[in-house]
Amino acid sequence: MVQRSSATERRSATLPIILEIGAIVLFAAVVAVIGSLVGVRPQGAGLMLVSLLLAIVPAAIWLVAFYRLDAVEPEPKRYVFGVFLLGALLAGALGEPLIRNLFQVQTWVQDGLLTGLAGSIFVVGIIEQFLIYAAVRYTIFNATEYDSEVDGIVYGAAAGLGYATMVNIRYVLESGGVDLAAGVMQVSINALALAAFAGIMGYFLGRAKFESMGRWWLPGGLMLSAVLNGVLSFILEQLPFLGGLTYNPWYGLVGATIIAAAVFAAVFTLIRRANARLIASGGAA
Amino acid sequence: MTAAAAPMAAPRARSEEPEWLVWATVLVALVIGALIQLAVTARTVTVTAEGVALSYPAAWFPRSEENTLLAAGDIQSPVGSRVSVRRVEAPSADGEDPLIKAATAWSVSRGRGLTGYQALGTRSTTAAGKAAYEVEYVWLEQTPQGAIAGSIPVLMRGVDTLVVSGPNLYVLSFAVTADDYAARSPRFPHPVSLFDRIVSSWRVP
Repeated sequence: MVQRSSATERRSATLPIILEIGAIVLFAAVVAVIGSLVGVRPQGAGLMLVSLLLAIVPAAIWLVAFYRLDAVEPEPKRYVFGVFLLGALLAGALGEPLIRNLFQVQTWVQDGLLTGLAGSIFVVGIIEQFLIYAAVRYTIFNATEYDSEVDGIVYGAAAGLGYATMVNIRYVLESGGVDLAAGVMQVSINALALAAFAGIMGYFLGRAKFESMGRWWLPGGLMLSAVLNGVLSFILEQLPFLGGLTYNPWYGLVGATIIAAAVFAAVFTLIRRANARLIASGGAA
Repeated sequence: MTAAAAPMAAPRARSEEPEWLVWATVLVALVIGALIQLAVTARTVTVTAEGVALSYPAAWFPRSEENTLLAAGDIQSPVGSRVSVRRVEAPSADGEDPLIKAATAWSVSRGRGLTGYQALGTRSTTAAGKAAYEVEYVWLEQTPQGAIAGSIPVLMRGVDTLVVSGPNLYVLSFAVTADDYAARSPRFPHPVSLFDRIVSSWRVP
């Protein structure tokens, strides 16, 4: 019974994330192709409106997928949406002001390879991952609804997508609207990457609640996810320039898709193995 | 996720989770980040030409400007954020303070060369180990896109620091957009302190 219900839960948690990755890639590709084929460039308020829509679509896709697949078994929707909103609020109120105004990363992170990596890890990565951690750890983590390890990944991804949505909105507002093709790629890359990095943090949170992982488990998980966030984000920023001086956002989207797919495959596999070990040792409730 | 799904084990007690370790990790990481930021933004490059030495932020790049000995600027912003050193012949003093006479002549020539030039103030100071005179001013500068692209000029703010050495007048010109000067934006965080750093490291023959 335990194995069966765990498998069902994994499926209900995994499917929205798989759908999210696929749908975001499809969405980005369709909008980019339409944008280049039609050639109509909205301007002024129209451009801003379209751009803002693009910024929130990745999160909307995930939420819709999550709600649609919720028929398998009832889920605490309000908690998932609440963590998503909290991720967005923490990004807007703390994350982005700290990164951009206090540390002013954008003014010095391009100074060199090592500087860029260090800034991405020790400022951007750690702040983003800690706020995602906080959005889960100090809210739903202690609730009775958070009752399995997979929940860590689900709520972590929700917080990450919330964070990404705020980053995307700021990106659009600061740019005064974005080019359809390049803009949709960027918001999709942000959503995929932040959801994936948040999934790693969620994995550590998931196991921390139900297993005795030692005192360094959570700090180690936070640091590992911050390092991966920093390094992979840095690589994703360089990918569009892979072909030389020409900017090609498709490279970034492909990279983000591979990273997201690999991360979620890894964390779900790790959770499955941990559960199997626990069941084999007779530790299941 | 739901009550129906079997939990893998009983939740651990809060006391087993040393939460302060997480906060300590974040704190240590941010301190490292701040130190890296400080190291990068404080780094300067020093260039010399004909006995003149000028230091500017390492993130800036040398610029080619007419009639300058040395020039550098922040290439991340299309206008503003730059420094240069010029050498011109000092006017004959004729009994007046040579520095004030040179500053007056320099200010007039600047007014002719810059659109919408307006002096904001002058003051005596020291620079490059000598008595110096500062002229602070604003002017309008066209963006690289130019009027053809429909862009409007940018209000610039500049400080020229003048030093007389031998027969020559040396002028250190520091410029930044008025917006950056007022807002201390991320693009140009601390114009006043940066200006002080540049002036204090300036050397003339």
